[in-house]
Amino acid sequence: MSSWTVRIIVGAAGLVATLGLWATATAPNPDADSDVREVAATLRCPTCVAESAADSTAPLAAGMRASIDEQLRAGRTPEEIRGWFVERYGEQVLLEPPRHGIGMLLWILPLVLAPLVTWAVLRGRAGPRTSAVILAAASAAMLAGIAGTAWLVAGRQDGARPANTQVARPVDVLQEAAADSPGDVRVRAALAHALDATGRVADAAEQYRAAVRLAPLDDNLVYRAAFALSRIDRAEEAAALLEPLVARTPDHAEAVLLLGTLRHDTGDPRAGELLRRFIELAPDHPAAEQARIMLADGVAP
Amino acid sequence: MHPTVRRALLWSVAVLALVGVLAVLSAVREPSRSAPGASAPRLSGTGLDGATHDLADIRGTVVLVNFWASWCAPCREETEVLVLAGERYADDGLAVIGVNSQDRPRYARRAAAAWGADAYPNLLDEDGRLAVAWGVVGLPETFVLGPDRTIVERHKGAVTEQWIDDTVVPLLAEAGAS
Repeated sequence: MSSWTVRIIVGAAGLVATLGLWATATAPNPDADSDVREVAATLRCPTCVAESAADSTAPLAAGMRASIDEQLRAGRTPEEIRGWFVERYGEQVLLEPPRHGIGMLLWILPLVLAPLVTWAVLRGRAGPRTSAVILAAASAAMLAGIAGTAWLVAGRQDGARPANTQVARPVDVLQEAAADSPGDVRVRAALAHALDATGRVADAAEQYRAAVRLAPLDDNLVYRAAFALSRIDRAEEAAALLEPLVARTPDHAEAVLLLGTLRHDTGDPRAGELLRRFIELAPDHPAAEQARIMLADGVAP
Repeated sequence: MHPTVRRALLWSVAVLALVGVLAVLSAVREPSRSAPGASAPRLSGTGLDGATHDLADIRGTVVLVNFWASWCAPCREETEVLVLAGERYADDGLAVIGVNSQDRPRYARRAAAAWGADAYPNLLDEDGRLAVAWGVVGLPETFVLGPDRTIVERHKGAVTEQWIDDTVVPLLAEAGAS
């Protein structure tokens, strides 16, 4: 083998190895999301009512998850990350009392008090020997409970999950994805679309609303939310979403048409102006003829 | 009820009540990194104008760090106050830096241009990480930083001219006198 052939082979091997390392380093880590979720599940979303940062769709919760992800990648431990959040939001950001200081007392006291109270209650009725046996039994039951919980938690952390051998439906997959990434507006929108496609319009409307909370100025998303709401007889809510949309994007033809139609249905004279604008914007739209018909109905002032 | 039993129960209730009170007191403890007196967290990144901005490079004896978003109605109201204050007190050492948080850049740019917030540097914080690092809960929120870049004051909600007069102007006077 010539020296050039050897050099080319060595060079190619080096390149493949480098590309492999690069691909490994940049590939999304499937465990990263679950690690973020695990830490986020122990933190309260400060702008929500009784929701963890893992489950909330609030923008701030999305920021918390992004921050957790960044810190985990930097090699910080979950405990350090929780400490970082406590420094910024106080201990109320923790969903569970901290396992130190006064927080630790909240964990330990019930475990100590429960057997003691049992013993105190029964001491007067049973003999000292019986009450000692009861105290021992209550303590043993408590310890067994703690050990069982610890074992369950350890099992969960090992990632032991049943294999899913069934082919999942798109809605189910998207629902899981939305549960894992509640702040991902694209996942929410895709789930809403899938629900809409399967005829679950009310569920779709709720998902669209959640997506709109994440991206309130996304005109198309707002329009879709309003369209879904209008189909489940929640016209007022739909109109409330459309009004600011039409004000900021007056050339959004579909939104103009939908708001015009909703107003037409309630006999609102402002429908005329909207329907005329829609016809101007999209004279060849399949619904333009319908708009002309509505105008001819006599809603125009 | 047997007196011993009653005494045991009373003691249990008393201890639990005490622990409860202490727990509540510990839970409402102010955060240490975003409260007045703490050093301002780091603040740097890409701005709405595409340039890199860093709090460390901002000149000014008193700095207002304002977290806002285009979808936040009170943010619109207070922008005028911040722009005016920035202009009026620039020579006295006031600097304003905005952080557009939890927003889409194109909406943020549109709002900044329409409201006049492009009069001062604005950092992009699309995913809200900067807001979280500063312990922000809701928008708008404004931090007042002193000459040594410690947090002197934090104001939740829209700032007003009155607030500028009551909080910022005395600080500027104090910094100018020293």
